[in-house]
Amino acid sequence: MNSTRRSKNKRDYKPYLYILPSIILLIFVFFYPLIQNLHRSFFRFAGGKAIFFGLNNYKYLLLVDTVTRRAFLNNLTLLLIVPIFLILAILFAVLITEKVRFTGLYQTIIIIPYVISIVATGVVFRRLLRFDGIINFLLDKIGLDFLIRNWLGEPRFAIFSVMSVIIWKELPFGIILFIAGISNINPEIYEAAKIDGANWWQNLFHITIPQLQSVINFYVVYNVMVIFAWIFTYVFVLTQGGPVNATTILELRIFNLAFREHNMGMASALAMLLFLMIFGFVYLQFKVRQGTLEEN
Amino acid sequence: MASIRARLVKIPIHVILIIYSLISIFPFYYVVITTFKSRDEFYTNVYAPPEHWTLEGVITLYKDYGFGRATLNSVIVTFLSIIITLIISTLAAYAYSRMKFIARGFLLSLTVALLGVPVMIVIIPVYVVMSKVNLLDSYIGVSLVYTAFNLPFFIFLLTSFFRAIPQALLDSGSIDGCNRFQLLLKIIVPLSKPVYATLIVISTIWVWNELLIAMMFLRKDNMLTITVALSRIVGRYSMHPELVQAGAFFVALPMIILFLAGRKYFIQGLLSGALKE
Repeated sequence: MNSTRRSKNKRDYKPYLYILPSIILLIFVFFYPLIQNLHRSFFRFAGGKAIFFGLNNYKYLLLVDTVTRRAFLNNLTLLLIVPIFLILAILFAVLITEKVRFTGLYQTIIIIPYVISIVATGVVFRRLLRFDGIINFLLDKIGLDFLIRNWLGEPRFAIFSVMSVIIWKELPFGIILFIAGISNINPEIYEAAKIDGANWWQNLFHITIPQLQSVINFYVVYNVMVIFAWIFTYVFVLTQGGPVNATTILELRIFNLAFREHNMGMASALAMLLFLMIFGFVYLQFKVRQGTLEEN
Repeated sequence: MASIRARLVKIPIHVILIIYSLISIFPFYYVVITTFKSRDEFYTNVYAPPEHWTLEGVITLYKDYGFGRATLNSVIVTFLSIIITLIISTLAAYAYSRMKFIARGFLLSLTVALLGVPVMIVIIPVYVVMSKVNLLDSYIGVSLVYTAFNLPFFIFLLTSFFRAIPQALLDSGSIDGCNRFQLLLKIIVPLSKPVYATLIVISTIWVWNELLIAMMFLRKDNMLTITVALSRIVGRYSMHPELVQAGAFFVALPMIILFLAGRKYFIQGLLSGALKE
């Protein structure tokens, strides 16, 4: 009976009706835009006309445009977040999973920043990081008044202030991830280590962290993607890329090219470059991981 | 003895966790106290709770700055996009998990591969399409864009859950005379309530909080969502801190309540997204 049903199903068009709405929507929002982006990236749009521009948009972005270069370097600077996230997330996950009281309460409070809108977060931190904000107030109180500055207004420090806000808001995701990872570790491993007389640090470095290897891999890759493609709103609300492009990032550059400078061709070219970068990165780490799997 | 020592060892852990907890909620504390202060008091008493609690800022925000309308818009857009996503993804996941057809595996992997495609990379052409078909400044238009970004995650999660439902249950439904579509409605969907709860909590928080898509597709003053309305008053009314912080308060509060109510589902959702790897 099974085989007759299967052969009948070959001509069954109904499954396609079920998936059709999703396919149409995904074509319009993902596949068609990517093709459009590619197409537009070879043109210059001026006065309602499209002029074929060859690779000139790409050449300009890669070789000439200093704002784009600045944006790329800022994205690279923000990659500093990746190791910080890793260390802090593992640290807090380990502390929370130590059998202490109020674990549930800590966990709940710690997650709250993660459910608050980036816009609201930005609004608050714009206040707190001001010259007369609480950060400076506290620095003054503890005698570090030489550190007092306008945290979002000084070119050298603005990017690190943005970084701190991202850490404040996004760290909970990593903590949740590692708490789950730690609770998946077989407790017998720790039992065995206890018999061998291992101390807390030895447990951490010889059992917990090695056992978390796959979670760590995922978390690193995930954060690199976040830094390159999911932090527009932070910069848009906190600094708008300023002061003097000190916090401009690639996403903001695409946005400004399209809607401030009305240069759709150039914006599309940069979107394609960003897409290729992310795609290349994901492919590369996939290959590397496959390689290490085969070695083992 | 041993137990006292064990407890003492745990004191530094509590200290670290308490400090981190305070850092996590301090900004929210600041928002709350500022929201209920008058503007005059804001400048004399910055970090302590208000001496005179007032609703001045809140009332101005809702009466003169269109926050009531923006809240309504956000509710409509969130609700609409999640309903559409639920319908479309349930149908698709049913086909991917329980039917056989050519290119099934390919189409499913292609769909799931879209999980996490950055908004900024595709948004400009989508904007051009939407303006051509007159779907700018419409609830449906923006909801469809949100739906598309939610679909990969929904389809991924629902497909794996539907797959795990025992065939015997469906067979008994067929014997009772259910057709294929009725099997979905009467057996599969009711069994999948926990997954639906997870998806709804996660995507409600994402859509409500989202800025870029809302900002691009809803531009008229009476169509703004709550995050866009907030991002607009920040720049223009920086001299009115109590107004701006009240805005942040009403953007954040509903999602904090939702999180506290659906904590289990929220955490479940975060983890199942990560499990894809």
